Amino acid sequence: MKNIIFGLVATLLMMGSAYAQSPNERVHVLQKRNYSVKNKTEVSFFGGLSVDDTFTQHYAGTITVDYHLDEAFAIEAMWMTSKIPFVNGDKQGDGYTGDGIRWGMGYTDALENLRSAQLSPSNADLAMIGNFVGLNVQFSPIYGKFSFFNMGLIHTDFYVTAGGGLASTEYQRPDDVWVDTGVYFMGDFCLGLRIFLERWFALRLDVRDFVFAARVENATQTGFDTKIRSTLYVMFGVSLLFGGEDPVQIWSPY
Amino acid sequence: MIKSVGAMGFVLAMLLGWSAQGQVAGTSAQLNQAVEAYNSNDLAGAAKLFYEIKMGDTQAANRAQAEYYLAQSLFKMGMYQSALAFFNAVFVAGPAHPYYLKGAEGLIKVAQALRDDTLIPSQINKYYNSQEFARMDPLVLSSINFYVGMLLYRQEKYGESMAFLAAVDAKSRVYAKGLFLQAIIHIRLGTRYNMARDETRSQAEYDQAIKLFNNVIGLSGFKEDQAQKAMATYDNILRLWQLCTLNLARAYYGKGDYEKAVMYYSRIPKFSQDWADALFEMGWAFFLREEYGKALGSLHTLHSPRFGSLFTPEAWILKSTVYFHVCLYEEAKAAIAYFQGNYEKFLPELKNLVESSLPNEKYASLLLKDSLDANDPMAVVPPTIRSSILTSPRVENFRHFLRSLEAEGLAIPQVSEWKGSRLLQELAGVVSMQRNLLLRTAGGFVKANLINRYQTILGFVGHSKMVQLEITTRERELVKAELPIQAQLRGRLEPRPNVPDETFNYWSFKQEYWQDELGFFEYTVRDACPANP
Amino acid sequence: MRIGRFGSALFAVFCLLYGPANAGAAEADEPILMNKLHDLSGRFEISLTPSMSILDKYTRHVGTSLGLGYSINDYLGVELDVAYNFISGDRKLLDEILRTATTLDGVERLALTDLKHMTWSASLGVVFSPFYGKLNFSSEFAVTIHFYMVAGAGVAEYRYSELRHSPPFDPLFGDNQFHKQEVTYPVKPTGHIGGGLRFHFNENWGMKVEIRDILFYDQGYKGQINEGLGVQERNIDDFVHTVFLRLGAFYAF
Repeated sequence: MKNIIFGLVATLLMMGSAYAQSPNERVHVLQKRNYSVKNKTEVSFFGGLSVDDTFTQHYAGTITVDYHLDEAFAIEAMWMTSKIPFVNGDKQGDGYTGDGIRWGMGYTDALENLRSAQLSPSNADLAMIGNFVGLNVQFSPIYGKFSFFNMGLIHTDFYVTAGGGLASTEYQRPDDVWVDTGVYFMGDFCLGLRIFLERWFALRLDVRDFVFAARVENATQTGFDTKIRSTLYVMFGVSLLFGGEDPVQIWSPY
Repeated sequence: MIKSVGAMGFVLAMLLGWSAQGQVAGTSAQLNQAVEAYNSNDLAGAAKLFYEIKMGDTQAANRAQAEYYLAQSLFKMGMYQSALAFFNAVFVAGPAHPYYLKGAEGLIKVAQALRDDTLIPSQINKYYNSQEFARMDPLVLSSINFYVGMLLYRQEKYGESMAFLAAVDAKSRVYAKGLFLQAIIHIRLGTRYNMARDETRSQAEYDQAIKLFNNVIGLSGFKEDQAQKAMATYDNILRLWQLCTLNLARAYYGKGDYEKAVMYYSRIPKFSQDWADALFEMGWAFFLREEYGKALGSLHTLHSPRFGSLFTPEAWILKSTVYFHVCLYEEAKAAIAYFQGNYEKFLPELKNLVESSLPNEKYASLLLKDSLDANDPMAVVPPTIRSSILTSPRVENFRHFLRSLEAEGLAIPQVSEWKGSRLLQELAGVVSMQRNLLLRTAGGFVKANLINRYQTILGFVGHSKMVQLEITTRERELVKAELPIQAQLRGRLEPRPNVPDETFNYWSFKQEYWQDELGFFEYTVRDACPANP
Repeated sequence: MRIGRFGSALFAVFCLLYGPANAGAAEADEPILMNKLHDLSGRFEISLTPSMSILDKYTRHVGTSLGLGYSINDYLGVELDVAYNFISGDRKLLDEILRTATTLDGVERLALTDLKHMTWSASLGVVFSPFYGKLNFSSEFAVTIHFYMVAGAGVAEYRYSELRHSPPFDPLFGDNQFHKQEVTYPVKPTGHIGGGLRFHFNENWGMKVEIRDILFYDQGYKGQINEGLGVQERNIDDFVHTVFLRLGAFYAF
């Protein structure tokens, strides 16, 4: 494994010299970033959906606030919600399913299909994230640019985000009763892409995975089972960036 | 009765505060009729009537009034050249003409509409009457002073030009332009004194220029909101700020402060019309600071495909000089070879052209026509040279002037009211005459530019020969010292340059030219100079 | 269909990228790039890409694919792709569900969608590469990339698991003892759509990362259920999607 990593690093480092130039000179590009994020505060609004769960389907609204310590590192606070927080819309026996409160939580056709085949999954596979508040660290090591048909130029930042926070999860038993599994720690990890349109405006695409230990009643409702679950979201967002370096105008003071 | 109605109309006009340009009052039947046509926006009809009055009325006052309003009518019809003829007639008649000052004002309006900064200013200058002009609206007078100042500047009459430019009112739209032109004159004087080795006076001129350039940029208040206000107040000030920045760089360069020069050159917006100049001049500034990698980096942008056929003979000489200074003789020779193959070879053709006995108007096709016929004498001008002439901002003015004249020439016979009239004949004659004059002027401009290009290349041929000679000498010395001729055996290639700060990205250059990377190149070169050559 | 959501997500990514491309055109008359280093025009490409399936419901795949491509111009090309999955079977999730199931008496074919797993595939496709760019890794090194989209059609072989009860089913007491047996489906016509990044390391060699959804319309499959009244058949018609993450190398010439 070690050898593979060394090999890969060596290949990448050699890439720069793969293109022959005069032996007496090298040409370099020291380019001022068109879109610098250093010392900027970024407020982002996302809409997202879970993509990899077999039985559960989340639609989530997310707000993140990032402060960019420099071009590479940022700290990020986030709140993701698929359910109106602090409200439990149903209790056993009141007959109300709480759909209005759980606006972004639901089950897929696969569950219906499974149940119609007289089969059922574990309750743990039905647990869904209602709300999450967390704190992350963001690292943006890759700056990219793309030309589109050699006409337009797109500037991008690729980043990874990792962190954790508190989440509340719920699941619906076969008798349609929603069970609140309480608030507990949840970790999240994200790969993301930021597309700059203006110095103050960007689009974001996050693929964010949430990992949590779903503690649920067992099938016979006589005890509890715990299962490590992960839910992968694809999120699209818009970002507003404030502060940071002012663009240089022809009249700007030196 | 008619007379009294006319008089009443005049009085009414005065009472209502109508401007002379907006509404006209006449004093005779025909004049009254013309005025009515003018006021009801029947400009063609009014022009015809005013022309008849001008030509046939027995009263001089009526003729004078008709002459002016004829010009006004034509101006409003967009027939600027025709209007120019009558405004000019009013103006050259002198202060005796009741509309003398208005005629001058009309000339300025036509100059602006035709973007003429040569012929009309020259006419105004010829008949400039400071006593009479003092009665003029200060803002109009400022425009006149600016145009005359610019004309005198072009004629290199710097002292007189400064006097006119200094008289431009601070509230005028051309105030910033006036300041800028004064600063440019100081730069010219600074260069002149510098060449005469009068260091003290040269520095003083540069300092004065710097002060004036800063004054122009200072009109922005260095803040967004004030800059916006300034843009609404002064003509073309955004462009002027850019030119001031470029010229501040030049002034500091002239003073020998290359660090500041580079700072200002770097501010020139990429892809703007001044960018190529800034890159080239910055290359010199870096060279003089002995930052050879950066000098070559500036030239690398200039020689990128983006600038394609840009006329940059001096840049190749500079490139060879930089290579020579780091003892990369093969590279220096390659740069000279490029110069020879792409510029020096034009000399015979250019010589023929500039020494030919062609009349000036034959040269005009180079800038007035989009494509040239094979039998056009200008068809032999190399594309690089032609495009270098066409990039001059004055070319667009010439073209605009010509387009305007041609449009007017076509429009005049189409005016039904003028069919068979003397007015039509006279206007057609005016346009035709003006077109010929323009062809001569534009041709003169082209010829002067061709001479300039010829002399420029010729001058650099001398430089290139000097560099070649020096290289030969140095190579002989290397052989004598038993040092290798091949540069890669003589010195160390410098390491990759440091990234200035984290807001910069480093990319290694792989022969691709990304639009956003232009202007950010930097070389590292092998210092191949032996310790004791 | 869960995969439908993924498709929407891909589409949104495309819109996201396409929109700003126009917005970012700063100098309308200026080409963004001159002397393009990795122009694809007229070039062939051979690729070997190990792959694994992602976003599966009940199946899993690990395999490899071999591709031959030709670029007609810098933006458009064609490709021939063959793939074989060394590992092609059910996910643990399905086994877990079956293990805890109490109503499988006599059921041989599960009445579930997305049970089919692919063993091999062969396809022809069109490759569209509108984006060309480069990535800068902390100002230390950079790599040139193409972003491409691919779509096409082909054939594939699928299998699925049927349940075999042993000992033979006892109608009086029932019997939940079963094992799975793989059954091969006839070769099916497939379609595919996907997108990826091509990383150019030098003039010839590079690496590809791609996500490709291969789908077929599964019609005529008769699942079985036992609701206590004996085994009944149920038609299951559905699009079966298999989404692969492919990561491999290519050689262009």
